[in-house]
Amino acid sequence: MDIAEKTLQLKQDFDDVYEAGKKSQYDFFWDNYQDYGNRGDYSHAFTSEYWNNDTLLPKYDIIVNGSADRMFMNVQGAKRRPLDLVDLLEKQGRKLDFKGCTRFYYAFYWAYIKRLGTIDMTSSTTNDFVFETPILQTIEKLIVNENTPFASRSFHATSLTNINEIEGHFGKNMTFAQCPLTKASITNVVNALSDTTSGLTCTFNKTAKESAFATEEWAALIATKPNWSFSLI
Amino acid sequence: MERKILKASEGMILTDGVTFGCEIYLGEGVDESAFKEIPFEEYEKMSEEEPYE
Repeated sequence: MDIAEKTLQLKQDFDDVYEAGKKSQYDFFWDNYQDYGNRGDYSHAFTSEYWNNDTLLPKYDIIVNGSADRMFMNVQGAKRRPLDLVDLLEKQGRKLDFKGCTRFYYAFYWAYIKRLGTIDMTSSTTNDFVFETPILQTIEKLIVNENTPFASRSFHATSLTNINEIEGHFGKNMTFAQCPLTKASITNVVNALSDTTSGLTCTFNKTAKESAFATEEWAALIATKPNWSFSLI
Repeated sequence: MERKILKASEGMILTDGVTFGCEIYLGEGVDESAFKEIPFEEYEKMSEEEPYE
């Protein structure tokens, strides 16, 4: 090799070592932060402004088998830059799986996330304030069962317009009074109400309901769930 | 099923102590006498977020 070729080779070698070093640091951090893929409790894991589209790059699938308390609480809140959580994880080839999650207490509280993917709440026993955020617009899919508990502020999501799919049935009092849900989403919620419970109430935002439904349409929809009361605020 | 509809007066909201609503479409077997009106302001105060700790 002449001097020019040796210089180019040296630069390439340097770049290779630099990249290997970066990868090594990446592996070291995420092997520890995700316990080599074995981490199940993700409480507080991605809270605060320092988890963002540049840093939330997990090495392993995020499988929550324990608590998700405050998991994404206030993420990006201070700098107000929405976290593209669904796209980010998809790009990384990573799953976010809540099937075994036992708690969602404040999980997405004031999280600057506009869209959530599939949120499986069937194993959860505590869901207070889970979706209390002014930023969330879309939940792609909710998975619930009749025992999944919800509190009055679970869906205190003042920009939530879309709940695109619901698997399972709601079997507790539900309130979406703060949510400007679309007609399709209100219909999805009503269709997901249990057919076997009694004495329960589902509350919707009055303005959203009146924007979406003519009187007869609304009457026809709620007639499908005679065992539920419906409230508008 | 013909649903009974309860409507709150202006500035008021209906409640049975658990459910709140300006309009309530009663389900099967629900006793309308369980509902009473309270000022909407009172409901808003009750709904205010508790300080996060």
